Amino acid sequence: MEHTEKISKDQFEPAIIDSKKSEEISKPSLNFWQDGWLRLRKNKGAVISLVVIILLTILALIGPMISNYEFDRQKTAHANLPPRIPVLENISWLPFDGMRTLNNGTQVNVYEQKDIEDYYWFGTDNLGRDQFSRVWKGTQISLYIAFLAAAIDMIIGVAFGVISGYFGGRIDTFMQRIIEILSGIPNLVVVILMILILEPGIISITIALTITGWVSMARVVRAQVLKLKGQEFVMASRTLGASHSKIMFKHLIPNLAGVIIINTMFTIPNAIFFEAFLSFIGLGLQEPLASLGTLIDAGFKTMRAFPYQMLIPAVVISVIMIAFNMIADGVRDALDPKMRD
Amino acid sequence: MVKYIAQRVFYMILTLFIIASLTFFLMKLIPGTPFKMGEKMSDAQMEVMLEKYDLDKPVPVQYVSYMTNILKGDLGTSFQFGDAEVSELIGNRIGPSALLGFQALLVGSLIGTLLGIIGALKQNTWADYSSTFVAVLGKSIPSFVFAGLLQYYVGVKLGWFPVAFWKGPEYTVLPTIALAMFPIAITARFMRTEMIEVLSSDYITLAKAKGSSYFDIIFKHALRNALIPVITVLGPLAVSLMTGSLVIEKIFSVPGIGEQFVTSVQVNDYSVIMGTTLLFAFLFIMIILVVDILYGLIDPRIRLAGGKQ
Repeated sequence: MEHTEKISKDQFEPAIIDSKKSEEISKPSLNFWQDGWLRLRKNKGAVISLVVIILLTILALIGPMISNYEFDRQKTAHANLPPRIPVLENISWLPFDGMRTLNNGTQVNVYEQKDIEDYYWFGTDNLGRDQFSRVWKGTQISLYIAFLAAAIDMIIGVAFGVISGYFGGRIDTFMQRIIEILSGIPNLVVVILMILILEPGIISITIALTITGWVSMARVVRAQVLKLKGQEFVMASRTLGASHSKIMFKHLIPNLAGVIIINTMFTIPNAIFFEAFLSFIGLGLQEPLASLGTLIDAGFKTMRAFPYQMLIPAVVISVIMIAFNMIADGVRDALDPKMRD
Repeated sequence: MVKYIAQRVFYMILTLFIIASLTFFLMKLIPGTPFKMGEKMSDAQMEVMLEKYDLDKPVPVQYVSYMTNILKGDLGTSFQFGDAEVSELIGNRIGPSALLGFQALLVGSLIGTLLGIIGALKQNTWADYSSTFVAVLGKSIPSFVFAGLLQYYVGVKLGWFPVAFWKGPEYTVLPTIALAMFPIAITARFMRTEMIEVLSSDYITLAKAKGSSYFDIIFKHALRNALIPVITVLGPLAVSLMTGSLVIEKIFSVPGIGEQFVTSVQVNDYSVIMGTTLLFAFLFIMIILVVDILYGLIDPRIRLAGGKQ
């Protein structure tokens, strides 16, 4: 304690206790969404994933257009070409130089061999179709199916859950029995059976995914409605003569928005997975349409000779799945910190 | 408890009945014939074939005989695989599927538990982050993508393990790893949360205070209690193993139920599809039931009685 200095008394002045000051709000008050957004912004993984998803969605939309070749244009002379991209082809360690490694280990430039001037950025498949436009077309369709299925799940699930929870009594018992039976059926089985009867196509795959997909949403929503409907604001609204539908739409559903969004965010990657899964076991979209699942399935068959045909769609679907899962986790942590695991 | 179990078993039977009926009627709606040479048959041949398999009878009659046969354990005969009994066909293939599922579950839950413990003990360090990263990968990457990559890089490129078929223990390595990814991810995440919660409870502080060794605290006191809620993820895990087995058995040419199912779907073999569907549904429902009952028995804090869920 060598540096103890004496501080003169006149440097201090008594603080005046102002009762108004202590009540003052120093920071702007945040509503539920602003608060959630602040928390989500702090989650680096979720923010990066969000950017990745936005980029991939843009690519999926414009990808098939910026390529010089239509996704279903066949040119058998150009079959099974490896990826080649202008400029990048000069960087030897990147796999975009149009080189193909043969079984005996030698490398050949297939483009020079076949005397082809075109550039196929992701190569071509066994019918000579441009993989670049096919991959982005496939991403587009996979995302479309996923969003459509998630939206339908949300509508059915919320309607079912709100009605079941709000009215209660016999209606609730009956509706819960339906859910109990439906959730006993593995959705894998339902999806496969539905696809067997309906012709595989975008709409039928979506329908098959939604048949059991809404059950978890209905459960969560019902549980929340049971909690909410006993609260004072609902009682006040009813006392003032609001109709059932007004209470549901104006009071219950806005308060459920958090759980609805969280649940939907988890439905999307699930739908992407099931669509790809169906395609992989041969129940997916028909040619010439492509989804990420059909591309992986096709690439898998020629994997040994042309690994890039499987690798590129596999990387795209993995990135999408990881990004969606991380966003879903982030949104859940941001909107409902109690549910954090 | 007894009332609860009785109620659950009743619903189980009802669900199975509905699934069986549903599969039957859906199968009747499928376009195309189930016969191998369907398109090349003349009308007369077709009639003979239909009569042989009782497909010429009215649908309600077929339905009743189908349902009574199921009760007797007879799932009908296959149209494609040389007139084999479906129950026999499935029975012969249960072995590889069960072995694969068991190995994946074992490997998955052991590695997952380990990763979860590491994550909980070294919270917010690189060890925690990498175990979380593995969990995110395992949960996100579709099993067939992972299996395909494994097969190409470890099987073909490195040549460490056989790429396909089912001839010995070394043939099970790659499919087991591919199938175990999801169990690893789910157990790791769950274990981490539970461990963190348990480690902050009073009895762990007491154990530390009385001077128990680090090892004892983790494995004797904390792990045992943290494991209880992990039972609840057994349901989703079982489902993931069934889903995964379809594609992974196809990729690695494992002669199991999943591979059989995929082939049957592609050749329209009704009776095998129906039989396998019923088997999957039965297994799924049984596992959920057993998990719920086990949970109530192991952890007396959870009350099942009264049927309130």
